[in-house]
Amino acid sequence: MITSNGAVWETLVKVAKEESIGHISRTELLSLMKGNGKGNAKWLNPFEVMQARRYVEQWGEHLLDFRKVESPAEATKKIFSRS
Amino acid sequence: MKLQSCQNCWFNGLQYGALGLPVGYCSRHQKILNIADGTTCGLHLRKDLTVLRAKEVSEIHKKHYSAEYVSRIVDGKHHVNDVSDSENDITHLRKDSVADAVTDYGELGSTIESLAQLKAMPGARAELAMLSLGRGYINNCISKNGKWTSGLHLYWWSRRRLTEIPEIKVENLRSVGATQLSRQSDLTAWSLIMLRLTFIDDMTIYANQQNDPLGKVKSLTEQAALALDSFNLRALSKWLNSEAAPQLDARLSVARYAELANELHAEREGAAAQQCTPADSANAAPLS
Repeated sequence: MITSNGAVWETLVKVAKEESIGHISRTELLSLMKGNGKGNAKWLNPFEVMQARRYVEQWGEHLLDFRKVESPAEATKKIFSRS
Repeated sequence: MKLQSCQNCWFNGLQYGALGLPVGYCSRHQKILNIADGTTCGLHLRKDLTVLRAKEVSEIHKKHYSAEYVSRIVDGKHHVNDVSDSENDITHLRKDSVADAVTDYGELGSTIESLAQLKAMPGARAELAMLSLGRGYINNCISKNGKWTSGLHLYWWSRRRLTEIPEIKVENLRSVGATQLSRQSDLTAWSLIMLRLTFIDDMTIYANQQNDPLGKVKSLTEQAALALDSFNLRALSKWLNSEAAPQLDARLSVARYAELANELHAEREGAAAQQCTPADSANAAPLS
């Protein structure tokens, strides 16, 4: 993560999980993003799903899932450290 | 990958994802983009979406960024060193033939001529520039109540090369990201073919709005996404040949293209056609 002052902040999946933050791996994303998308990746436009799938593979993307976290701002402060 | 960044904007003909030069060039602000992955502005239109969706997203985006200047995504502020229009830098950039045509675009009263010049150049970067700037050119013509046929030749050039797999040379890549070189080349070729389809989708949308038979072709980007579940260029090529091209040709054959081109020519001879001037298309036009 890059902030407005140009600093790079980093975390690990293991650290995020300790704060009950979910992790959606690259493999899981790739499996969900086919056709119109499956489950939480369902989307009206299949082309946009395909573009997103390409980005996951091309740039090695994966996601932290804050949906079940009570205070995402607090959790973010806790898990990220300046590199 | 920041999708709202200058590298993914219609008005930057020099970059798209992994493809392109180390710097971009904004044809609206007429500036070299030094960190195109980290900057944006309120005029941004996403290259990776078809025209209607790109405009929808842009409505939200422009509430957060000024149209007047190129700003950093993270803070919305203009940083002087993010861009350049110094003569030295422009002269240096122009040593690249694609960049030369891109910087000419709109500046010298030569929009369509610049696009024709790009069409004649070999290579993936020239095609990227033609498609990217071409989308802006036609959209502007349409927003000035122009006909969809203002993009007829650009459409035809894209249709003719539709089924070709572009060669992505190592010097065309800005980065390999998280993948191996050969895979990055394949994914980049895929993204360029999708840009062709996006351009063609735009054209069919405009044609549909003006009740032309070409507008009856259903979104090729969506058809491709439903038909292909892996990024396999051979499978894509087969699909383009067997599914996409016949649908387009059934609505716009060579004979019909020649007929429409003759009509356009006759209208221009009679000065009756609505033509887009460079100032319209590159500099001063509102983006509706």
